[in-house]
Amino acid sequence: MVRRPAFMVGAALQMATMVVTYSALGYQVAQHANGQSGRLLTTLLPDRFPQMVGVIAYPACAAVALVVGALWTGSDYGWGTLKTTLTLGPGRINVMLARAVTITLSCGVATLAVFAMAAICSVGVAAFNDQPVTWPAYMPSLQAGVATWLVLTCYAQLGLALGVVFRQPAAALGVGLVYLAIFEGIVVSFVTGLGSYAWVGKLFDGQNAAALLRAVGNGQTTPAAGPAIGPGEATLALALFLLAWLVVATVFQCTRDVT
Amino acid sequence: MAATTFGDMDTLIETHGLTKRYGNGVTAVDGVTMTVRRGEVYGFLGPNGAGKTTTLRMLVGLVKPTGGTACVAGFSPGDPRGLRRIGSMIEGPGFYPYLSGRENLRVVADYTATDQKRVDEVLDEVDLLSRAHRKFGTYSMGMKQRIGVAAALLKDPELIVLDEPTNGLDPQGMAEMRKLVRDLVSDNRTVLLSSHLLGEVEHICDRVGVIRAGRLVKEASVEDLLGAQGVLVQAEPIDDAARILASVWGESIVTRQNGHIRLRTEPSRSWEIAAQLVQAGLRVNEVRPVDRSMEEAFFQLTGEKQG
Repeated sequence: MVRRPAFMVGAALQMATMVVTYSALGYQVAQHANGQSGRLLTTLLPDRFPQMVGVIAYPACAAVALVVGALWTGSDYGWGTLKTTLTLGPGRINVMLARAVTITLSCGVATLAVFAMAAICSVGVAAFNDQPVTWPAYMPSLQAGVATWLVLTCYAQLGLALGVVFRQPAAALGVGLVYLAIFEGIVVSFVTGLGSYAWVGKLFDGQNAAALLRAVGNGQTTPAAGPAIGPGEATLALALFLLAWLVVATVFQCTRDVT
Repeated sequence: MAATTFGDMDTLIETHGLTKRYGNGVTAVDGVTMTVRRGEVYGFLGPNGAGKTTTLRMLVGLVKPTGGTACVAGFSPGDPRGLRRIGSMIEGPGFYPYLSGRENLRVVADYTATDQKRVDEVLDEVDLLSRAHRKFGTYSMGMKQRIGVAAALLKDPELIVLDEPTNGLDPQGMAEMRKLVRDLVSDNRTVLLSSHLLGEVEHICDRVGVIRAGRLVKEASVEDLLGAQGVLVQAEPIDDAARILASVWGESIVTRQNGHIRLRTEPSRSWEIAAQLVQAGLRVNEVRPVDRSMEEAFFQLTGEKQG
Protein backbone atom coordinates (compact mmCIF):
# COMPACT_ATOMS: atom_id res chain seq x y z
CA MET A 1 0.00 0.00 0.00
CA VAL A 2 2.85 2.34 0.93
CA ARG A 3 4.65 1.39 -2.30
CA ARG A 4 1.73 2.51 -4.48
CA PRO A 5 1.57 6.33 -4.56
CA ALA A 6 -1.95 6.13 -6.01
CA PHE A 7 -3.26 5.30 -2.54
CA MET A 8 -1.56 8.29 -0.96
CA VAL A 9 -2.49 10.61 -3.81
CA GLY A 10 -6.08 9.34 -3.63
CA ALA A 11 -6.33 9.98 0.11
CA ALA A 12 -4.76 13.42 -0.37
CA LEU A 13 -7.30 14.25 -3.11
CA GLN A 14 -10.16 13.14 -0.88
CA MET A 15 -8.83 15.30 1.96
CA ALA A 16 -8.44 18.21 -0.47
CA THR A 17 -12.07 17.71 -1.50
CA MET A 18 -13.05 18.19 2.15
CA VAL A 19 -10.99 21.37 2.43
CA VAL A 20 -12.37 22.82 -0.81
CA THR A 21 -15.98 22.00 0.10
CA TYR A 22 -15.70 23.41 3.63
CA SER A 23 -13.92 26.50 2.30
CA ALA A 24 -16.51 27.14 -0.40
CA LEU A 25 -19.47 26.65 1.92
CA GLY A 26 -17.74 28.61 4.71
CA TYR A 27 -17.17 31.48 2.28
CA GLN A 28 -20.85 31.34 1.30
CA VAL A 29 -21.83 31.59 4.97
CA ALA A 30 -19.53 34.58 5.47
CA GLN A 31 -20.88 36.38 2.40
CA HIS A 32 -24.60 36.02 3.12
CA ALA A 33 -25.70 36.74 6.67
CA ASN A 34 -29.28 35.49 6.41
CA GLY A 35 -31.37 32.57 7.70
CA GLN A 36 -30.32 30.25 4.91
CA SER A 37 -26.66 30.80 5.56
CA GLY A 38 -27.33 30.23 9.26
CA ARG A 39 -28.79 26.81 8.47
CA LEU A 40 -25.81 26.11 6.23
CA LEU A 41 -23.45 27.10 9.03
CA THR A 42 -25.00 24.53 11.38
CA THR A 43 -24.12 21.76 8.91
CA LEU A 44 -20.50 22.90 8.85
CA LEU A 45 -19.92 22.91 12.60
CA PRO A 46 -18.03 20.12 14.40
CA ASP A 47 -21.12 18.36 15.76
CA ARG A 48 -22.27 17.68 12.18
CA PHE A 49 -18.97 16.90 10.49
CA PRO A 50 -19.59 13.11 10.11
CA GLN A 51 -22.77 13.88 8.15
CA MET A 52 -20.89 16.42 6.07
CA VAL A 53 -18.34 13.76 5.20
CA GLY A 54 -21.22 11.59 4.00
CA VAL A 55 -22.42 14.37 1.71
CA ILE A 56 -19.00 14.79 0.14
CA ALA A 57 -18.11 11.08 0.09
CA TYR A 58 -20.59 10.34 -2.70
CA PRO A 59 -19.92 11.03 -5.46
CA ALA A 60 -16.69 13.07 -5.04
CA CYS A 61 -14.64 10.75 -2.80
CA ALA A 62 -16.21 7.67 -4.40
CA ALA A 63 -14.98 8.87 -7.79
CA VAL A 64 -11.46 9.24 -6.41
CA ALA A 65 -11.67 5.72 -4.92
CA LEU A 66 -12.74 4.37 -8.32
CA VAL A 67 -9.81 6.11 -9.99
CA VAL A 68 -7.38 4.64 -7.45
CA GLY A 69 -8.73 1.10 -7.98
CA ALA A 70 -8.63 1.40 -11.77
CA LEU A 71 -5.12 2.88 -11.75
CA TRP A 72 -3.86 0.17 -9.45
CA THR A 73 -4.87 -2.90 -11.45
CA GLY A 74 -4.81 -1.26 -14.88
CA SER A 75 -1.24 -0.06 -14.38
CA ASP A 76 -0.16 -3.54 -13.31
CA TYR A 77 -0.97 -4.69 -16.83
CA GLY A 78 0.65 -1.66 -18.48
CA TRP A 79 3.91 -1.89 -16.51
CA GLY A 80 4.04 -5.68 -16.71
CA THR A 81 4.18 -5.91 -12.92
CA LEU A 82 1.26 -8.35 -12.82
CA LYS A 83 3.25 -10.64 -15.10
CA THR A 84 6.25 -10.36 -12.80
CA THR A 85 4.11 -10.99 -9.72
CA LEU A 86 2.36 -14.03 -11.16
CA THR A 87 5.62 -15.66 -12.25
CA LEU A 88 6.86 -15.43 -8.67
CA GLY A 89 4.30 -18.02 -7.67
CA PRO A 90 1.72 -16.50 -5.32
CA GLY A 91 -1.23 -17.86 -7.34
CA ARG A 92 -3.80 -15.79 -9.18
CA ILE A 93 -6.58 -16.07 -6.59
CA ASN A 94 -4.20 -15.11 -3.78
CA VAL A 95 -3.07 -12.06 -5.75
CA MET A 96 -6.66 -10.94 -6.18
CA LEU A 97 -7.57 -11.57 -2.55
CA ALA A 98 -4.49 -9.64 -1.43
CA ARG A 99 -5.59 -6.76 -3.63
CA ALA A 100 -9.10 -6.85 -2.15
CA VAL A 101 -7.72 -6.75 1.38
CA THR A 102 -5.28 -3.97 0.49
CA ILE A 103 -7.93 -1.83 -1.21
CA THR A 104 -10.27 -2.32 1.77
CA LEU A 105 -7.53 -1.27 4.21
CA SER A 106 -6.53 1.69 2.04
CA CYS A 107 -10.15 2.86 1.95
CA GLY A 108 -10.21 2.56 5.74
CA VAL A 109 -7.14 4.78 5.94
CA ALA A 110 -8.70 7.22 3.45
CA THR A 111 -11.91 7.30 5.51
CA LEU A 112 -9.95 8.14 8.67
CA ALA A 113 -8.03 10.80 6.74
CA VAL A 114 -11.14 12.52 5.37
CA PHE A 115 -12.85 12.36 8.76
CA ALA A 116 -9.80 13.94 10.39
CA MET A 117 -9.65 16.63 7.73
CA ALA A 118 -13.39 17.32 7.97
CA ALA A 119 -13.08 17.62 11.76
CA ILE A 120 -10.22 20.11 11.41
CA CYS A 121 -12.15 22.11 8.81
CA SER A 122 -15.29 22.17 10.96
CA VAL A 123 -13.27 23.48 13.90
CA GLY A 124 -11.90 26.16 11.58
CA VAL A 125 -15.40 27.15 10.47
CA ALA A 126 -16.56 27.26 14.12
CA ALA A 127 -13.63 29.43 15.13
CA PHE A 128 -14.12 31.77 12.16
CA ASN A 129 -17.80 32.23 13.01
CA ASP A 130 -17.36 32.43 16.82
CA GLN A 131 -19.32 29.22 17.35
CA PRO A 132 -18.71 26.74 20.20
CA VAL A 133 -16.94 23.47 19.35
CA THR A 134 -19.25 20.59 20.21
CA TRP A 135 -18.25 17.13 19.05
CA PRO A 136 -20.84 14.67 17.72
CA ALA A 137 -22.00 11.58 19.59
CA TYR A 138 -19.76 8.52 19.28
CA MET A 139 -22.20 6.03 17.76
CA PRO A 140 -23.58 8.15 14.86
CA SER A 141 -20.01 9.12 14.01
CA LEU A 142 -18.96 5.49 13.95
CA GLN A 143 -21.94 4.62 11.75
CA ALA A 144 -21.09 7.42 9.35
CA GLY A 145 -17.48 6.26 9.28
CA VAL A 146 -18.39 2.66 8.51
CA ALA A 147 -20.88 3.77 5.85
CA THR A 148 -18.27 5.99 4.21
CA TRP A 149 -15.71 3.18 4.33
CA LEU A 150 -18.18 0.78 2.71
CA VAL A 151 -19.03 3.24 -0.08
CA LEU A 152 -15.38 4.04 -0.83
CA THR A 153 -14.42 0.37 -0.79
CA CYS A 154 -17.29 -0.53 -3.09
CA TYR A 155 -16.19 2.05 -5.68
CA ALA A 156 -12.50 1.24 -5.31
CA GLN A 157 -13.37 -2.41 -5.91
CA LEU A 158 -15.39 -1.40 -8.99
CA GLY A 159 -12.34 0.46 -10.31
CA LEU A 160 -10.16 -2.54 -9.52
CA ALA A 161 -12.52 -4.86 -11.44
CA LEU A 162 -12.61 -2.48 -14.42
CA GLY A 163 -8.81 -2.34 -14.44
CA VAL A 164 -8.70 -6.13 -14.67
CA VAL A 165 -11.43 -6.33 -17.30
CA PHE A 166 -9.85 -3.70 -19.59
CA ARG A 167 -6.24 -4.63 -18.71
CA GLN A 168 -5.24 -0.98 -18.81
CA PRO A 169 -5.99 2.08 -16.69
CA ALA A 170 -7.27 4.56 -19.30
CA ALA A 171 -10.33 2.63 -20.50
CA ALA A 172 -11.10 1.49 -16.96
CA LEU A 173 -11.04 5.09 -15.72
CA GLY A 174 -13.16 6.37 -18.58
CA VAL A 175 -15.84 3.71 -18.34
CA GLY A 176 -15.94 3.87 -14.53
CA LEU A 177 -16.30 7.63 -14.34
CA VAL A 178 -18.89 7.76 -17.12
CA TYR A 179 -20.88 5.10 -15.29
CA LEU A 180 -20.64 6.92 -11.97
CA ALA A 181 -21.18 10.47 -13.19
CA ILE A 182 -23.50 10.09 -16.18
CA PHE A 183 -24.91 6.68 -17.02
CA GLU A 184 -26.44 5.86 -13.63
CA GLY A 185 -28.02 9.31 -13.32
CA ILE A 186 -29.63 9.10 -16.76
CA VAL A 187 -31.03 5.61 -16.21
CA VAL A 188 -32.35 6.39 -12.71
CA SER A 189 -33.99 9.62 -13.91
CA PHE A 190 -35.58 7.74 -16.77
CA VAL A 191 -36.95 4.82 -14.73
CA THR A 192 -38.11 7.15 -11.93
CA GLY A 193 -40.13 9.00 -14.52
CA LEU A 194 -41.76 5.74 -15.55
CA GLY A 195 -43.18 5.33 -12.04
CA SER A 196 -43.76 1.59 -11.86
CA TYR A 197 -40.16 0.86 -12.87
CA ALA A 198 -38.62 3.09 -10.21
CA TRP A 199 -37.39 -0.04 -8.39
CA VAL A 200 -34.78 -0.44 -11.16
CA GLY A 201 -32.94 2.43 -9.51
CA LYS A 202 -32.25 0.17 -6.54
CA LEU A 203 -30.04 -1.94 -8.80
CA PHE A 204 -27.38 0.78 -8.97
CA ASP A 205 -24.68 1.10 -6.38
CA GLY A 206 -24.76 4.89 -6.52
CA GLN A 207 -28.39 5.01 -5.39
CA ASN A 208 -27.62 2.69 -2.50
CA ALA A 209 -24.49 4.65 -1.57
CA ALA A 210 -26.41 7.93 -1.57
CA ALA A 211 -29.26 6.39 0.43
CA LEU A 212 -26.91 4.96 3.06
CA LEU A 213 -24.97 8.19 3.48
CA ARG A 214 -28.23 10.15 3.53
CA ALA A 215 -29.49 7.90 6.33
CA VAL A 216 -26.40 8.40 8.48
CA GLY A 217 -26.57 12.11 7.64
CA ASN A 218 -30.15 12.46 8.98
CA GLY A 219 -31.42 13.31 5.53
CA GLN A 220 -30.77 16.99 6.05
CA THR A 221 -28.01 17.66 3.62
CA THR A 222 -28.31 15.17 0.79
CA PRO A 223 -31.09 15.86 -1.66
CA ALA A 224 -33.41 12.89 -1.82
CA ALA A 225 -33.64 11.56 -5.34
CA GLY A 226 -34.35 8.21 -6.90
CA PRO A 227 -35.98 5.27 -5.18
CA ALA A 228 -36.54 5.07 -1.43
CA ILE A 229 -33.92 2.71 0.02
CA GLY A 230 -33.56 1.98 3.73
CA PRO A 231 -30.12 1.97 5.38
CA GLY A 232 -30.18 -1.79 5.99
CA GLU A 233 -31.22 -2.48 2.43
CA ALA A 234 -28.55 -0.11 1.11
CA THR A 235 -25.84 -1.69 3.27
CA LEU A 236 -26.75 -5.16 2.04
CA ALA A 237 -26.86 -3.99 -1.57
CA LEU A 238 -23.44 -2.34 -1.31
CA ALA A 239 -21.98 -5.46 0.30
CA LEU A 240 -23.35 -7.51 -2.59
CA PHE A 241 -21.95 -5.04 -5.13
CA LEU A 242 -18.58 -5.29 -3.37
CA LEU A 243 -18.67 -9.07 -3.60
CA ALA A 244 -19.83 -8.96 -7.22
CA TRP A 245 -16.94 -6.71 -8.31
CA LEU A 246 -14.49 -8.96 -6.50
CA VAL A 247 -15.92 -12.05 -8.20
CA VAL A 248 -15.80 -10.36 -11.63
CA ALA A 249 -12.17 -9.31 -11.10
CA THR A 250 -11.17 -12.75 -9.82
CA VAL A 251 -12.88 -14.62 -12.66
CA PHE A 252 -11.33 -12.39 -15.31
CA GLN A 253 -7.87 -12.60 -13.78
CA CYS A 254 -7.98 -16.36 -13.24
CA THR A 255 -9.37 -17.36 -16.60
CA ARG A 256 -7.62 -15.03 -19.02
CA ASP A 257 -4.11 -15.18 -20.36
CA VAL A 258 -1.63 -12.58 -19.16
CA THR A 259 0.18 -11.30 -22.21
CA MET B 1 -4.60 -29.85 -19.47
CA ALA B 2 -3.33 -32.72 -17.40
CA ALA B 3 -0.15 -32.35 -15.41
CA THR B 4 2.66 -34.74 -16.04
CA THR B 5 4.17 -36.41 -13.03
CA PHE B 6 7.87 -37.02 -13.17
CA GLY B 7 9.92 -39.80 -11.88
CA ASP B 8 12.92 -38.42 -13.73
CA MET B 9 14.66 -35.93 -11.49
CA ASP B 10 17.04 -35.00 -14.31
CA THR B 11 14.32 -33.32 -16.32
CA LEU B 12 13.20 -29.83 -15.39
CA ILE B 13 10.91 -29.12 -18.33
CA GLU B 14 9.03 -31.66 -20.36
CA THR B 15 6.18 -30.94 -22.74
CA HIS B 16 4.16 -33.24 -24.94
CA GLY B 17 2.15 -31.79 -27.78
CA LEU B 18 1.89 -28.39 -26.10
CA THR B 19 -0.54 -26.30 -28.10
CA LYS B 20 -1.98 -22.80 -27.93
CA ARG B 21 -4.84 -22.01 -30.24
CA TYR B 22 -6.56 -18.63 -29.96
CA GLY B 23 -10.25 -17.98 -30.46
CA ASN B 24 -9.62 -16.29 -33.81
CA GLY B 25 -8.29 -19.54 -35.21
CA VAL B 26 -4.63 -18.61 -34.94
CA THR B 27 -2.45 -21.46 -33.69
CA ALA B 28 0.52 -19.83 -32.01
CA VAL B 29 2.08 -23.05 -30.74
CA ASP B 30 1.31 -26.36 -32.38
CA GLY B 31 2.16 -29.60 -30.60
CA VAL B 32 5.54 -28.67 -29.16
CA THR B 33 7.32 -31.56 -27.47
CA MET B 34 10.54 -30.55 -25.77
CA THR B 35 12.74 -31.53 -22.87
CA VAL B 36 15.11 -29.42 -20.80
CA ARG B 37 17.44 -31.45 -18.60
CA ARG B 38 18.83 -30.39 -15.27
CA GLY B 39 22.12 -28.50 -15.55
CA GLU B 40 21.96 -27.82 -19.26
CA VAL B 41 21.66 -24.58 -21.16
CA TYR B 42 18.86 -24.93 -23.67
CA GLY B 43 18.61 -22.47 -26.52
CA PHE B 44 15.16 -21.85 -27.91
CA LEU B 45 15.43 -20.46 -31.41
CA GLY B 46 12.97 -19.30 -33.99
CA PRO B 47 12.09 -16.33 -36.17
CA ASN B 48 9.81 -13.56 -34.92
CA GLY B 49 6.26 -14.79 -34.44
CA ALA B 50 7.31 -18.45 -34.45
CA GLY B 51 5.78 -19.06 -31.01
CA LYS B 52 8.82 -18.83 -28.71
CA THR B 53 7.38 -16.32 -26.25
CA THR B 54 3.97 -18.00 -26.22
CA THR B 55 5.64 -21.30 -25.38
CA LEU B 56 7.63 -19.71 -22.57
CA ARG B 57 4.52 -17.94 -21.29
CA MET B 58 2.76 -21.29 -21.15
CA LEU B 59 5.66 -22.81 -19.23
CA VAL B 60 5.43 -20.18 -16.48
CA GLY B 61 1.63 -20.20 -16.35
CA LEU B 62 0.89 -16.79 -17.86
CA VAL B 63 -0.89 -18.35 -20.83
CA LYS B 64 -3.07 -21.42 -20.57
CA PRO B 65 -2.37 -24.14 -23.15
CA THR B 66 -5.29 -25.39 -25.20
CA GLY B 67 -3.73 -28.80 -25.72
CA GLY B 68 -0.95 -31.10 -24.68
CA THR B 69 0.74 -31.60 -21.36
CA ALA B 70 3.64 -29.91 -19.65
CA CYS B 71 5.61 -30.34 -16.48
CA VAL B 72 7.90 -27.59 -15.24
CA ALA B 73 10.11 -28.10 -12.18
CA GLY B 74 7.97 -31.05 -11.18
CA PHE B 75 4.59 -29.37 -11.42
CA SER B 76 2.00 -28.15 -13.89
CA PRO B 77 2.83 -24.78 -15.47
CA GLY B 78 1.72 -21.95 -13.20
CA ASP B 79 1.62 -24.14 -10.08
CA PRO B 80 2.98 -21.94 -7.27
CA ARG B 81 5.15 -24.83 -6.01
CA GLY B 82 6.85 -25.07 -9.39
CA LEU B 83 7.11 -21.30 -9.90
CA ARG B 84 9.00 -20.98 -6.61
CA ARG B 85 11.79 -23.01 -8.23
CA ILE B 86 11.90 -20.90 -11.39
CA GLY B 87 13.32 -17.47 -12.07
CA SER B 88 12.07 -15.93 -15.28
CA MET B 89 12.03 -12.86 -17.43
CA ILE B 90 9.39 -13.19 -20.11
CA GLU B 91 9.13 -10.57 -22.85
CA GLY B 92 10.97 -7.83 -21.03
CA PRO B 93 11.16 -6.79 -17.40
CA GLY B 94 7.99 -5.58 -15.62
CA PHE B 95 8.67 -3.33 -12.65
CA TYR B 96 7.31 -0.21 -10.99
CA PRO B 97 8.80 2.78 -12.82
CA TYR B 98 8.65 5.08 -9.80
CA LEU B 99 10.62 2.74 -7.53
CA SER B 100 14.39 2.34 -7.70
CA GLY B 101 15.96 -0.82 -9.02
CA ARG B 102 16.80 -1.86 -5.47
CA GLU B 103 13.29 -1.12 -4.18
CA ASN B 104 11.77 -3.15 -7.00
CA LEU B 105 13.97 -6.11 -6.13
CA ARG B 106 13.01 -5.71 -2.47
CA VAL B 107 9.36 -6.01 -3.49
CA VAL B 108 10.22 -9.21 -5.35
CA ALA B 109 12.18 -10.45 -2.31
CA ASP B 110 9.15 -9.75 -0.10
CA TYR B 111 6.85 -11.66 -2.43
CA THR B 112 9.16 -14.65 -2.52
CA ALA B 113 10.18 -14.58 1.16
CA THR B 114 13.78 -14.18 0.09
CA ASP B 115 16.39 -12.71 2.42
CA GLN B 116 16.76 -8.99 1.64
CA LYS B 117 20.55 -9.45 1.69
CA ARG B 118 20.20 -11.27 -1.64
CA VAL B 119 19.06 -8.03 -3.28
CA ASP B 120 22.50 -6.43 -3.22
CA GLU B 121 24.14 -9.74 -4.11
CA VAL B 122 22.17 -10.08 -7.34
CA LEU B 123 22.55 -6.37 -8.09
CA ASP B 124 26.29 -6.94 -7.89
CA GLU B 125 25.98 -10.02 -10.08
CA VAL B 126 24.32 -8.00 -12.85
CA ASP B 127 26.70 -5.08 -12.27
CA LEU B 128 24.02 -2.60 -11.22
CA LEU B 129 24.94 -2.07 -7.59
CA SER B 130 26.20 1.46 -8.15
CA ARG B 131 23.04 2.49 -10.01
CA ALA B 132 20.51 0.60 -7.89
CA HIS B 133 19.27 3.79 -6.22
CA ARG B 134 18.00 5.26 -9.50
CA LYS B 135 14.32 4.97 -10.43
CA PHE B 136 13.56 2.02 -12.72
CA GLY B 137 11.75 4.33 -15.15
CA THR B 138 14.98 6.25 -15.77
CA TYR B 139 17.02 3.16 -16.63
CA SER B 140 18.29 2.45 -20.11
CA MET B 141 16.88 -0.62 -21.86
CA GLY B 142 20.01 -2.59 -21.03
CA MET B 143 19.78 -1.71 -17.35
CA LYS B 144 16.10 -2.67 -17.29
CA GLN B 145 16.91 -6.03 -18.82
CA ARG B 146 19.62 -6.57 -16.24
CA ILE B 147 17.24 -5.76 -13.39
CA GLY B 148 14.91 -8.35 -14.93
CA VAL B 149 17.69 -10.91 -14.87
CA ALA B 150 18.54 -9.91 -11.29
CA ALA B 151 14.93 -10.52 -10.27
CA ALA B 152 15.05 -13.92 -11.95
CA LEU B 153 18.19 -14.77 -9.97
CA LEU B 154 16.94 -13.43 -6.65
CA LYS B 155 15.59 -16.65 -5.17
CA ASP B 156 18.52 -18.66 -6.53
CA PRO B 157 16.23 -20.78 -8.68
CA GLU B 158 16.91 -24.22 -10.10
CA LEU B 159 15.72 -23.09 -13.51
CA ILE B 160 16.12 -19.72 -15.18
CA VAL B 161 13.93 -18.84 -18.15
CA LEU B 162 15.07 -15.83 -20.17
CA ASP B 163 13.05 -14.66 -23.14
CA GLU B 164 15.07 -12.58 -25.61
CA PRO B 165 17.21 -10.87 -22.96
CA THR B 166 19.01 -8.90 -25.67
CA ASN B 167 15.83 -7.51 -27.25
CA GLY B 168 15.99 -3.79 -27.87
CA LEU B 169 19.58 -3.43 -26.72
CA ASP B 170 22.26 -1.41 -28.47
CA PRO B 171 25.58 -3.12 -29.27
CA GLN B 172 27.02 -2.13 -25.90
CA GLY B 173 23.97 -3.45 -24.08
CA MET B 174 24.06 -6.66 -26.10
CA ALA B 175 27.70 -7.18 -25.20
CA GLU B 176 26.91 -6.65 -21.50
CA MET B 177 23.98 -9.05 -21.64
CA ARG B 178 26.07 -11.66 -23.46
CA LYS B 179 28.63 -11.49 -20.68
CA LEU B 180 25.92 -11.75 -18.06
CA VAL B 181 24.37 -14.82 -19.65
CA ARG B 182 27.81 -16.42 -19.98
CA ASP B 183 28.38 -15.79 -16.26
CA LEU B 184 25.04 -17.43 -15.44
CA VAL B 185 25.96 -20.46 -17.46
CA SER B 186 29.31 -20.79 -15.74
CA ASP B 187 27.48 -21.23 -12.41
CA ASN B 188 26.05 -24.58 -13.59
CA ARG B 189 22.50 -23.34 -13.61
CA THR B 190 19.76 -24.79 -15.78
CA VAL B 191 18.90 -22.09 -18.27
CA LEU B 192 16.22 -21.95 -20.93
CA LEU B 193 17.24 -19.12 -23.22
CA SER B 194 15.25 -17.77 -26.10
CA SER B 195 17.48 -15.65 -28.26
CA HIS B 196 18.18 -14.21 -31.67
CA LEU B 197 21.91 -14.27 -30.98
CA LEU B 198 22.71 -17.44 -32.87
CA GLY B 199 26.45 -17.14 -32.37
CA GLU B 200 26.00 -16.88 -28.62
CA VAL B 201 23.56 -19.76 -28.54
CA GLU B 202 26.08 -21.84 -30.46
CA HIS B 203 28.78 -21.11 -27.92
CA ILE B 204 26.92 -21.29 -24.62
CA CYS B 205 24.05 -23.76 -25.18
CA ASP B 206 24.27 -27.50 -24.76
CA ARG B 207 21.12 -28.22 -26.73
CA VAL B 208 18.77 -26.21 -28.87
CA GLY B 209 15.18 -26.38 -29.98
CA VAL B 210 14.21 -24.66 -33.21
CA ILE B 211 10.60 -23.57 -33.58
CA ARG B 212 8.98 -22.48 -36.82
CA ALA B 213 5.36 -21.43 -37.30
CA GLY B 214 4.48 -22.86 -33.89
CA ARG B 215 6.06 -26.26 -34.51
CA LEU B 216 9.31 -27.53 -33.01
CA VAL B 217 11.20 -28.53 -36.14
CA LYS B 218 14.37 -29.68 -34.43
CA GLU B 219 15.60 -30.47 -30.96
CA ALA B 220 19.19 -31.59 -30.77
CA SER B 221 22.55 -30.98 -29.21
CA VAL B 222 24.49 -28.13 -30.74
CA GLU B 223 26.97 -30.62 -32.23
CA ASP B 224 24.22 -32.65 -33.84
CA LEU B 225 22.52 -29.55 -35.17
CA LEU B 226 25.65 -28.22 -36.76
CA GLY B 227 26.34 -31.62 -38.28
CA ALA B 228 29.61 -33.05 -39.52
CA GLN B 229 32.44 -30.85 -40.60
CA GLY B 230 33.17 -30.52 -44.27
CA VAL B 231 35.62 -29.43 -46.91
CA LEU B 232 35.01 -26.54 -49.29
CA VAL B 233 36.57 -26.75 -52.74
CA GLN B 234 36.98 -24.15 -55.44
CA ALA B 235 38.30 -25.53 -58.71
CA GLU B 236 38.02 -24.87 -62.46
CA PRO B 237 36.09 -25.91 -64.36
CA ILE B 238 33.65 -26.30 -61.48
CA ASP B 239 31.28 -28.66 -63.32
CA ASP B 240 34.08 -31.11 -64.05
CA ALA B 241 35.33 -30.90 -60.49
CA ALA B 242 31.85 -31.64 -59.13
CA ARG B 243 31.42 -34.59 -61.46
CA ILE B 244 34.79 -36.10 -60.57
CA LEU B 245 34.32 -35.66 -56.80
CA ALA B 246 30.80 -37.08 -56.95
CA SER B 247 32.03 -40.13 -58.78
CA VAL B 248 34.84 -40.70 -56.26
CA TRP B 249 33.15 -39.68 -52.98
CA GLY B 250 29.52 -40.36 -53.77
CA GLU B 251 26.77 -37.98 -54.82
CA SER B 252 25.31 -37.75 -51.32
CA ILE B 253 28.62 -36.39 -50.00
CA VAL B 254 29.08 -33.68 -52.58
CA THR B 255 26.95 -30.56 -52.94
CA ARG B 256 27.28 -27.35 -54.96
CA GLN B 257 27.17 -24.17 -52.93
CA ASN B 258 27.62 -20.59 -54.18
CA GLY B 259 30.28 -21.43 -56.79
CA HIS B 260 31.97 -23.87 -54.45
CA ILE B 261 31.79 -27.59 -53.94
CA ARG B 262 31.18 -28.82 -50.42
CA LEU B 263 32.05 -32.33 -49.28
CA ARG B 264 30.76 -33.75 -46.00
CA THR B 265 33.93 -35.42 -44.89
CA GLU B 266 36.77 -35.03 -42.40
CA PRO B 267 38.92 -31.93 -43.13
CA SER B 268 41.99 -34.13 -42.60
CA ARG B 269 41.22 -35.69 -46.00
CA SER B 270 41.56 -32.36 -47.84
CA TRP B 271 44.85 -33.46 -49.40
CA GLU B 272 43.14 -36.46 -51.05
CA ILE B 273 40.54 -34.19 -52.63
CA ALA B 274 43.19 -31.80 -53.91
CA ALA B 275 45.24 -34.67 -55.32
CA GLN B 276 42.29 -36.17 -57.18
CA LEU B 277 41.43 -32.88 -58.83
CA VAL B 278 45.03 -32.11 -59.78
CA GLN B 279 45.46 -35.59 -61.23
CA ALA B 280 42.36 -34.97 -63.36
CA GLY B 281 44.06 -31.87 -64.78
CA LEU B 282 41.82 -29.32 -63.07
CA ARG B 283 43.01 -26.06 -61.58
CA VAL B 284 42.51 -26.09 -57.81
CA ASN B 285 42.15 -22.61 -56.31
CA GLU B 286 41.09 -23.47 -52.78
CA VAL B 287 40.57 -26.46 -50.52
CA ARG B 288 39.69 -25.61 -46.92
CA PRO B 289 37.85 -27.10 -43.94
CA VAL B 290 34.45 -25.59 -43.04
CA ASP B 291 32.00 -25.83 -40.18
CA ARG B 292 28.32 -25.25 -40.59
CA SER B 293 27.47 -22.25 -38.48
CA MET B 294 24.44 -22.07 -36.22
CA GLU B 295 23.19 -19.37 -38.54
CA GLU B 296 23.27 -21.71 -41.52
CA ALA B 297 21.53 -24.45 -39.55
CA PHE B 298 18.91 -21.99 -38.30
CA PHE B 299 18.12 -20.63 -41.73
CA GLN B 300 17.96 -24.11 -43.19
CA LEU B 301 15.55 -25.33 -40.51
CA THR B 302 13.32 -22.27 -40.44
CA GLY B 303 13.27 -21.70 -44.18
CA GLU B 304 14.31 -18.10 -43.66
CA LYS B 305 16.62 -16.43 -46.15
CA GLN B 306 20.08 -15.42 -45.09
CA GLY B 307 20.81 -11.75 -45.42
